[in-house]
Amino acid sequence: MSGRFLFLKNTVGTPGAIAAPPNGHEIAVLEQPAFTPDALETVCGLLLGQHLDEYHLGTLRPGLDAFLARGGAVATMGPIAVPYMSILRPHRPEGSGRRDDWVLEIAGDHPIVDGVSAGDITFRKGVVGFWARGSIAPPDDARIVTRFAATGAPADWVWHGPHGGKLFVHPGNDVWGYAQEPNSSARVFAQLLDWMAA
Amino acid sequence: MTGIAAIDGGMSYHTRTLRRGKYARLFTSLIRPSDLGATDLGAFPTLLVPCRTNGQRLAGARAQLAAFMEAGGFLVVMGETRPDLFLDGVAVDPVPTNFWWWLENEGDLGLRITAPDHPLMSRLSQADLTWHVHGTLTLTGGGDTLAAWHEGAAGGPILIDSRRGRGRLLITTLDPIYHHGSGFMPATTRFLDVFLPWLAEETAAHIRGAAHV
Repeated sequence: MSGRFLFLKNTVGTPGAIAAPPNGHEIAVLEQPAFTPDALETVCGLLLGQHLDEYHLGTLRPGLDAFLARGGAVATMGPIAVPYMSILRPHRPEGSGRRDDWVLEIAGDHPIVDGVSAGDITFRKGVVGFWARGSIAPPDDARIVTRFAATGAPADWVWHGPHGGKLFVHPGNDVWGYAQEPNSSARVFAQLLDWMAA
Repeated sequence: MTGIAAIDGGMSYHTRTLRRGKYARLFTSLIRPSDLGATDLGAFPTLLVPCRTNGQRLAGARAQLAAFMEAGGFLVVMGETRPDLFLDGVAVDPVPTNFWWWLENEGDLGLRITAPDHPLMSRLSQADLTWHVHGTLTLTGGGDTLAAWHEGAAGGPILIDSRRGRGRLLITTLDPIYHHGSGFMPATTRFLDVFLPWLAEETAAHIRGAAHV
């Protein structure tokens, strides 16, 4: 099932995987200052990346919360400093920057990480930290998708609302930036869109 | 105004650098991009455009920023901001980002301090500005190249200090605020530990100089 998404842009260029989405999905790109929640009326999902103006999004909190509450799907990226939805919390760094602090593991079966290896999201040419360096605390009824191996702290998580809303929280670099990686981490973006549209 | 003014784009890494932590005290005025056009920049000795500020949002301020420097202001422009969109006479030649240089080329990124006696560079080691390179700079009218990157025949300046009108433009393709504010790459924090206090000193000296005119 393909879906129509909205991507808010606050960079000069548009990421390649956003401009050419996989699996028949459509992504409308909107400059962030032009965004109002009215733009969510015609899409199933909203993609919020790590380079967005969090203060601007915060002024739109009621509309973002309402979209999730009425059944919309939202994916948020980045180590959020100023939460812009009521369900979000500020990013908390994990560990002290040592290599072992940021090794990840898959927390259980979930369609977003189907076929994805923990090694492929943990390491880029042997370097750790691109995927996640800390946690955004999930609510008690969230489902943890990936976690830090050393402490069990959550990295990626999802939450389902009572009226069909879905939230995916990823506390690191935008997952669409992995779409061309030559390993299983490239599966995540397409599978995220599939999950949001289902 | 007694400190550094900065554009605050509202990204998490801007918040963690400009509003929180050990550098926040250095910034006395934060200007949202949407407020820039209505802001009298003449009130500020120094204006910082932090890393990854969206250059498109500043495009309408091209004349305002030029006038700021013409009148004696010190404009500091950091990396990944597309300065060609909001400054006259600036070109950036992008370089594919090499995050893994220490695994290649015998561990040499190819970055060099080229003006070791400059008051900023004399406080920095080469390692303090070595994480990766996003591009090289060409400035109409030139300037002092403080650091450069070369790989084979490719390369050029990555940090330039230049005069503009009665003011000054310091421009770089380095993006330490993004990485520091994202908790990633400790060299970027070491760079800012030197760079931002130096910038505050330059700003204070600028104010003292103006008071004596």
